[in-house]
This record gives sequence, C-alpha cells and structure tokens, in this order.
Amino acid sequence: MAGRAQAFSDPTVIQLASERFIPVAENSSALERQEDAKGIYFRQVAEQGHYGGRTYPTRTRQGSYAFTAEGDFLASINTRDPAGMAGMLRQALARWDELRRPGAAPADPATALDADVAPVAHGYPEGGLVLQVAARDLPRDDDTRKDDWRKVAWNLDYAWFTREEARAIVPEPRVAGNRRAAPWAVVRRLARFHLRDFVRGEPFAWPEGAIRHGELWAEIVEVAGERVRLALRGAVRLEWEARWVRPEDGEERRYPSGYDSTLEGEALWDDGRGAFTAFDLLAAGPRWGANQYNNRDDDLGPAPLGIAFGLAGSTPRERTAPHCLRTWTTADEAARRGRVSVERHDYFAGPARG
Amino acid sequence: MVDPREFRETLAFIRPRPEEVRWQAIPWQTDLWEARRLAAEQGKPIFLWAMNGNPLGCT
Repeated sequence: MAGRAQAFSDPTVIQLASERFIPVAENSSALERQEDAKGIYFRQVAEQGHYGGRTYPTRTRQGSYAFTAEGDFLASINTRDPAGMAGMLRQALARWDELRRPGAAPADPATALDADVAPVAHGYPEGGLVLQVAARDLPRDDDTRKDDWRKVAWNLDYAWFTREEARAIVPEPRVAGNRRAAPWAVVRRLARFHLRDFVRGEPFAWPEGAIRHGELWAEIVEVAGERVRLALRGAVRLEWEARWVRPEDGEERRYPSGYDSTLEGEALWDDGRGAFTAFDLLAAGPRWGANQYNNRDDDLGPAPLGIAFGLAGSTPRERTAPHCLRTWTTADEAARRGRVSVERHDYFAGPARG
Repeated sequence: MVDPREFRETLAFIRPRPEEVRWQAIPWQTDLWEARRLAAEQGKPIFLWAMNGNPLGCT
C-alpha cells in the first residue's frame, strides 16, 4: 500500500499519468509468466527496464514502465518517491517526442498490434453484487506494534456474487420480520476468500476445512413498494495451521491461524431493479497467526481485525477481480496450483455444506 | 468500536480515507492489451504500474 500512498498520490504524477499517458495497472507476477501475446509484449519492454536480466535476489520485474503501443521502451523505475516517479514520466515524454520526429525508426514489435489476445473470462458478475472490501486493524487494548507502516496498514479487495446469489439473500415473502439464511455458496465465498487477514499483504485462501462455523442471516426490517430494507447478522469462525517453507533458509514455518468474526450489516434491495442499491457489511473480531505473504510474523495476535464490505462502482478499477481469483494462465500447470489464488470454478462454486 | 452508530463509526474507521486513495484519481485501465489499443488510437504512450497482486486491489 505504501507505493499507492506515496508515488501515485502526488499531484504532478497524477496529472502527468492522467493527461499524457494511457495509465494501466496489472499483476506483475502474471505478466512475467503468462504465455500469450500480452505476456510477450510486457517482457519485451521489461527486459529493457530497471530489472532487465536480473535473477538475484529475485526475478521480479515489478515497477513502473513507460512505452509505446509498438513496444518502444521509453523509461522505467521502481520507486515510492514521487519526485523519482515524476522524473521518470518526464524522461519518457522526452523520449516519446524524439521518437515522433520525422525519420525516427520505431521498434520492431515483438507482437503485432492486432495479435489475438482473448481476455481471460474472469467471471465478472454483470448485474450481480460486486463489493469493495477494505481491511484494517482495529484499535487494541495493548498495542505493541512498531510505530511504522505496519501500524497504519490497510488493504483493498473486491468480492463477486452473481445476480442469482444476491437475490437468494433476500427473504421471501417480502414481509417485515421474515428471515432467511444466505446460501452456503455466499457464506463459503465470504469465509474462504474474503475473511482473510490481508491488512499487510497477500494471505492464502482459507482451505475448505478451516471453516469451523459460518452463517449469515438477512431479516426484512421494512418494505416500501419495491424497496426492501434488510438487517444482516452472522458469524464466521476460521481456524487452520498455516504451513510453508521459507525460501530463504528452507525452514518450515507453522502458525496456528484463525479469525473469529461477527458479521453485521444493513442492505437495501430493489425488486424493480433486481439488485441491491445499498449494502454495508462489517466483519469484526480477533485474528491470530500468520502466513507466507501477509507480513504478520511479528504480530501473531490475537488482535482485532475489521473488514468492511460495500457496493463497488463500475469503473475499470472497480471491476478488478478478487485477489483470490486467478486471472491468468500459464503453460506450467504446477504453478497454477497456488494457495493464494484459486481457479474460477473454485471461487464461484464449491461443495455443499457438509 | 465494534448499535447503528457504532456500526457506522467502525465502517468509516476501516474504509480508506480520501488522503489514502488519491491514486484513484488516475483513470487506470486494468488490461494492458486494452491500454495498448487505446494508446494506438489516441496517440499516447502507455504508463504501466506492474506490481504483484492486484495493484488496484489487494497487494
């Protein structure tokens, strides 16, 4: 989150990026690996950039890059410093002007502009319930966290539910006081993929067996024509031993981990539109443990965690796929079986409650 | 902090503050291939933010 809070919060960077470029944000891990024209195009550019050819300490190509549609490299940098970022953008524009002079030879594109790149069908639920999810540590009785980024960390994600799943949350008939349990597919998806401790990073998806308890109820508070006001209540308890091998030293790490959350919320369903027009859900309670990519080794808890769900808009940014939903393909099948992300069928479906 | 008032206070505490999401003022595209098409169409260079995870979501 620090990069977002610094380099991209600077007015000069915002103005240059917005007015002089086509700005785009993508998952570097995917672009570095995916076996299609888009991956080849990215790697053609990245190998001319700040980490080109690097294999140690990592092979990452994360950073900010400026380049042309044809694949001409203009400039790149990996920094949180706004001045450095603005400098890179200005350098890129100077190079861009040079390339547009008469007689300048453009790059030989590694991939044709009209190359067929079939967009991965992520499963964005048109007309469904799309939620923005924010996570942050709640205030503590006894706070021993270091006074640095870890104390102010927060993170964002998105959660997707189909139109049918959204409708199935609303009790029938539409009478005040009527209650209904949300479908297990909804509770399971919330629990496994969205009630994670992602405040400081990218945790594993909870395995199926981690769900020790899960329920979400909707109760009709008021009916006014086609508008149905709902109260949401529930609880989810997750518990699992997180295990992984540290690549630095080959040591196995094991942390009993969990999240014991209470759910409460308010929502407004519109029968005329067949959609929620308001949806606020809060998960709060103690979390404990750590896993490989969520930076909690120094903060094992238990300590209070809050996760807030609310309706997302429909800009490209707000159609970002849920973090747990794998959105790229590679030729390496073994690499597809990650614990952080799952395939579309696993995200959306899932076994019956057992 | 987690009562309707307490509920709203807690939601507001968790959700990002305006100063934390200034980066959202940039009209980010989310597909490099679509950005490439727009760059060719509009005669502009591409500015790519490549980061592990979802740069506009969970990182």
